[in-house]
Amino acid sequence: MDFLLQANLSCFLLSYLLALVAEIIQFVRSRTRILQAIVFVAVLAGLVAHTAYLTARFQATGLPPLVGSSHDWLLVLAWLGAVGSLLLGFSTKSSQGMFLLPAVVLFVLLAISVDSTPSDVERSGASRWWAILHASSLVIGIALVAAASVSALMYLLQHRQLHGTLPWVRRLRLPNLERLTGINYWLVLSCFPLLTIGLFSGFVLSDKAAGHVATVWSDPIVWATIIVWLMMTANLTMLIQKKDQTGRMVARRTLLAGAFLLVMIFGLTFVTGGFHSDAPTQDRPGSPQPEPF
Amino acid sequence: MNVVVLSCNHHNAGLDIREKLAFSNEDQLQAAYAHWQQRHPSSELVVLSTCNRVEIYAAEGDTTQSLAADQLTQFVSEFHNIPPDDLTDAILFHHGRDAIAHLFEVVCSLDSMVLGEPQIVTQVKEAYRIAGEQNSCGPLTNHLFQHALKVSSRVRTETKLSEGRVSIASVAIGEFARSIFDRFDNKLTVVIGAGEMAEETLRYVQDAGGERFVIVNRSPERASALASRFGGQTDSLENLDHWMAQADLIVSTTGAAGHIVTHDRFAKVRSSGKRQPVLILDLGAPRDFAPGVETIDDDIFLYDIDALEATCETNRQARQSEVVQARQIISEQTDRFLHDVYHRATGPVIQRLRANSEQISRKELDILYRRLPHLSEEDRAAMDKAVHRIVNKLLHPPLETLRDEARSGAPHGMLDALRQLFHLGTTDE
Repeated sequence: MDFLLQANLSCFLLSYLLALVAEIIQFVRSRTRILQAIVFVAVLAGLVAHTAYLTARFQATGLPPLVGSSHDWLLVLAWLGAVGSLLLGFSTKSSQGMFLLPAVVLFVLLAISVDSTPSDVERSGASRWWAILHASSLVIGIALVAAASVSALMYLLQHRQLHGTLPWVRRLRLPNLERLTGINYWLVLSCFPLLTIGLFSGFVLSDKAAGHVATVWSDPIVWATIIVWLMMTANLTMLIQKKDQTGRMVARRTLLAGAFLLVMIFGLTFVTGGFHSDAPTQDRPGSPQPEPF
Repeated sequence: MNVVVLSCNHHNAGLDIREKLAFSNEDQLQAAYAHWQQRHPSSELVVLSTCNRVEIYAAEGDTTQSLAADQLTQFVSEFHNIPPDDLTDAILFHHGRDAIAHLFEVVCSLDSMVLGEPQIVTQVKEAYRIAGEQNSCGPLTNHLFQHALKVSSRVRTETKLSEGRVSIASVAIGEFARSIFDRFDNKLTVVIGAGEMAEETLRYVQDAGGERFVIVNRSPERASALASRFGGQTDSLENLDHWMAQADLIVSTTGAAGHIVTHDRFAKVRSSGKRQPVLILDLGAPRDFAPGVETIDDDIFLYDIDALEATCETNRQARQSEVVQARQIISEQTDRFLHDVYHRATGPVIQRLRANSEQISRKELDILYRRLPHLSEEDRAAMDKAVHRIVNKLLHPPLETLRDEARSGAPHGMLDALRQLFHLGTTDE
């Protein structure tokens, strides 16, 4: 079973890599129908294998992928990115794959490198539902921050191309600035409530698990999430309140938040071996594990 | 197959002679078709007349009838009352394969003044439609023009011949404005000046969905005339700053000797207006906007005529690099078309040969079955099958040879030989 799961994991990673290579060839040389078809088929095949893998993990652990382990929710993030890439490939002519597929591959590689042992979240009861709410709102919120960062990066590249400083960007076929501004606005707007719910449900969950919320402050992931939440809150506030906000300013702030998020995921994953690893609490026998966040 | 093209286009004739040879409206074309049909009732004709070319495609399916270039020259000369000698240097002829390849190049816009321009497809379709309505098309021209339109579609799909815009106004709106704005119906376009370039640019903005236009010009009459064509409003140059502060798109095309909008003036305009992206198309030469205006803030996108021309040139070069691939497709499709035509020519003979063989074998089998009434149904079916196989095997070598011959040209000699050897009659009917 483990062997089959590993084979499946390699399958969709290779599919996404193939799609990414085809996208890069299209960017460097020229867009052709054959390469477009290769991208579409590779992403679709990857998604099928990816979905099968997540389903198998769910059946094996009895936990939804979002609360299973860091490995699982990183794969959920990658899955969302792959779905986005496939859907946008249908509806737009822009090179969205050049931006989304590297993120997808990155998340899968990250998922491979972290521990896939399922967490000991209660299989039923109130805590389980709090855990699902916490994990799902945070993962979707993080996915939206990542998407906002991608659109912000597109905006900045398009902006520089239009000012004549990056002529090669024309080959990327980016959406226009007005559309990117709109997309960025809605992504920033929608990630804020999700991150807020994720953050506060984490406190509730911690309270339920340990009897008080104080233990969560020793977890670096909590601090990192709070920083991203504060950055996005500041971004949203300025976006709504200040009239002289240029799209470029908003894009820069969003990209900053996205970059911090990426560093956070990377850094904490490698430093602690996964989100909410038991590293900080292992030194204190008998202390409850900070499961949330 | 006999196809001839008389071609008078921008490569080999000036506008003065092209104007004389042009068929400027549908009535004139109807008269031309009637004139041709009266003299050459068995041949097919399609006339393509645009501002850059007059081309007359004549075809004759019956190879016993000859169709010569002189007949086309005489037709044009008589119809337009121009002495044939005056046409000698202005017209070219293409025959057979060259004529077919020429049409394919024309419809793929390889022969156009602006490489890859799309209007020629519509013009060819229209010419073919009118010829059809005048009963001037036949099997050959129908097949030829339908095939030509398919070739055009393939070339435009498989190459980048039509990608990237190549005129200043189309690049300005189609590439730059569309990279900034998503929609134009809620955008205010302010035009400074009312010349031809302003009009052309406004046409592109309107095509993109633009609805709100203000024309600011020194001469109110010209501004009003332009505004009335696009449903816009006019104002004097004194109110230019007011409109620039509100504008999303500024098109400046004045013939002023110096900059009419300085850095400081536009900085003041930006500080008084709403903070939004503004696209400035400075199409004046000398420039109307002072250099450095685009550095006032992040949301000013200023393009002058040199910047736009550079993009046009890049696009032109990109299209030029696709010509080789387009010509390969055209060559391949010309061969395929000719093969189809030759193959069609052999069709009636092959059909008749098979029908004759079938008739003879059926007749002989019926006689045999009457003599041998004791044969069961299974035996008869087996004998039918055996005879059918024998006939097919006997016919296979000559038919295969005929098909091979048809690949390199119309196999008239072989078709005549088959008709005589197998008594198939002299006509293809």
